[in-house]
Order: sequence, then structure tokens, then C-alpha cells
Amino acid sequence: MKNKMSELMDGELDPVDADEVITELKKKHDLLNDWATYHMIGEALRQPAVSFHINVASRVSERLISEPTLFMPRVSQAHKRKFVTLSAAASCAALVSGWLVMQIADVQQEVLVTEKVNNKAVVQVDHPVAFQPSPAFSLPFTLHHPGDYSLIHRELSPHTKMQAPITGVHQVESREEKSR
Amino acid sequence: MGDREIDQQLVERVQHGDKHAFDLLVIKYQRKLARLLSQFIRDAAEVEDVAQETFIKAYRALPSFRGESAFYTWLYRIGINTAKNFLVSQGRKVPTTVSEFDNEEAENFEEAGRLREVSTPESELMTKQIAQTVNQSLDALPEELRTAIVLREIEGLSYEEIASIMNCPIGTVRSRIFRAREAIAEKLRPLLGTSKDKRW
Repeated sequence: MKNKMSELMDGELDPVDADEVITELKKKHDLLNDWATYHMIGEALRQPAVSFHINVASRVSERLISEPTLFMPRVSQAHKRKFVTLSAAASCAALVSGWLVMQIADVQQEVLVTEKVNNKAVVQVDHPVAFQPSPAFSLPFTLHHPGDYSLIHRELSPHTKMQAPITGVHQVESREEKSR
Repeated sequence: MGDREIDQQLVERVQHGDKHAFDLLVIKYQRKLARLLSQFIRDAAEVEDVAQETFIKAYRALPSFRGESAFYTWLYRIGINTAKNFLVSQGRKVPTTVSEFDNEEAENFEEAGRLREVSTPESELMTKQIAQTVNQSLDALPEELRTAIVLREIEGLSYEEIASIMNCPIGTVRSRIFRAREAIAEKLRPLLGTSKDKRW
């Protein structure tokens, strides 16, 4: 225990062991004397001319008997818990907000993509076709050409509003097949 | 855990009902505080009275201590105010140095080397004997123990730094410093009369 006390004096003991040593110091009178002696040695080494006759510890200790015992609430622990709770709540709020923002951004991006796809379709078509309002439901896509896989996906995608046939693509692919 | 953290841990224990933890702080700081007070009060008995009063005031004020400053800085501030009040109550003039003594000075006053020692023939003799015993015990230590304790107490190095300098594991440093302290303490005990019956 004395070796731990020596480490405690030097600030080299972890808090758990330090707590243990302090509790032991309370119980063991000899250990308390050693605490005083070790401190005196340190002071003697640092300042050889220091006066060592001062000793008010026992008088203070006697007077403390008549002093009321302090019982402060463990505010720091309560604050810590409150802080952790608030941090968790703030993190959750930030996550939800972030998720909502992402959702909105997704919808906007999808609208943008749809517009781009539609515009592309307009460019790609051989004959300009007027866009019609989206129907409440769409009929199953009829596979006109084996190369229409991506088009089927686009058509089945709930975000794509292409209504006009994209004949230009068929023609290009047909020409490529013919050339093979 | 540094020196400030140790004090804070002791303070928290006192704040939560452990009066005994305050004894440890008193033992640790009583001489430092007395040396500070001796700058303003010449009489040794009065220094002890004011030191005692300072500790009691500090104990009563502990609920308001939040650890923003180091415990000893806070204690010294109380000490200076107590010394000032004492001098006023005695109808003596308060030296200007008391009013001008700020926290920074309180922390460094030991290094300043401008202490006015409170001395009586008995205390002088005791001081000389203790210093002599410590020095003789230090000289008698094996070199590795002597180096370790000097690097710690005089140079103020951490265990890690000492281990690096002495080229040995930290565990060895812990052991050497403890053994050095214990060897010196063994020589001091008869002088201090710190038997089981006598409390230091």
C-alpha cells in the first residue's frame, strides 16, 4: 500500500487505485504518518532550508470534529448524465433532419433526372411528339425489340414519365444489327 | 492523474462527507501555507493560529469550490485574506505586499526564494536535523535509487521521463522511488517521533 501511496503523491496512480489508497489512509494511522513523512522528504530535498516545525494538522483535525460534515449533491454526475442525454437527443435530431434533407434532395434529383431523360427522349425521337399527362397507371410495356431492356426499366420506374415511343433508339440499334 | 487531480479527488471526497480526506490536504499544504503566512506575520505561534484558521475557513468554503483554480491557489487566497484580517484585528498595519500578493505569486512564491522563515531555537534545530538526516540518507542510497528520487523530487520529472533517462522500465522507476523514500523515511521516523501513538 505504501508503494501505491508513493505513486499517488507523484500523480502516477490511476483514479481507481488512488481512491483505494485514500480510503486506506483513512483507516491506517501509520499510513497517514508516512504520507506526512514522504511529503516532508520531498520538501527537504527541494528546499533544504525550509522550516519543518509547523504542524497544524492535528489541531485542524480536532476542530473539524465540531464542524458539520459536508454533503454536497453529486452535481457533476447529474450534469454528465444530462449532458449525455442532451447530446444523444441532439444527435438523433441531427440524423432525422439529415435524413429529411436527403429525402427532399432525392426527390429533387429524381425530378431533375426525369426532366433530363424526357428532354433526351425528345432529342432522340425522329418525330417530335407532344407529351401527354401521366396516366394514373400504365399498361405493361410491350417489348418491341430485344434491346429495349433499359427502356423497360425506365418505363417501369415510377419516376420516369416517358410516354412517347423512342423510335430513334430502335433505328440505331436496328442499323447496327443490320450492319453485323 | 496529476497533482491537481489528486487534490481535486480529495476535495470531492470532503465535499461528499469524508472529513478525513481534508486531513490529507492539511498535511500536504500546512508547511507551504505557513511559509506564505510567515511573510506577513513574524510570530511562529501566530502563524500557526492563522494557518489553522485558514484551513477551517477553507473547509467551510469547500461547497463553493468548483475546481476552476488549483486547490492550493484557492487555499492561499484564503490564507492571505485571513492573515490580512488577523493583522487588522490586532490593530497592526497590513503590509502592502499582502494586498499586492496575487495568485500567480502565491503559486511561485517558493521559487522566488524570498521567504522570511519563522524560526525559534527549537524549530531551527529541528529543521537542521531533518535536513541533515535527509541529506545523509540520500547520500547513503544506492546510486540508482538516489538518481530516481532526485529526478522526481528535485527535477520534477514524470516516471516516464525518468525511465527514459535511466533506461529502465517504468515499473522499475516506481519501485526505485518508493524504496528511496522508504529508506529516507526510516531514518527520519525516530527524529519525528512518528510512532503509532503520535499523529503527525
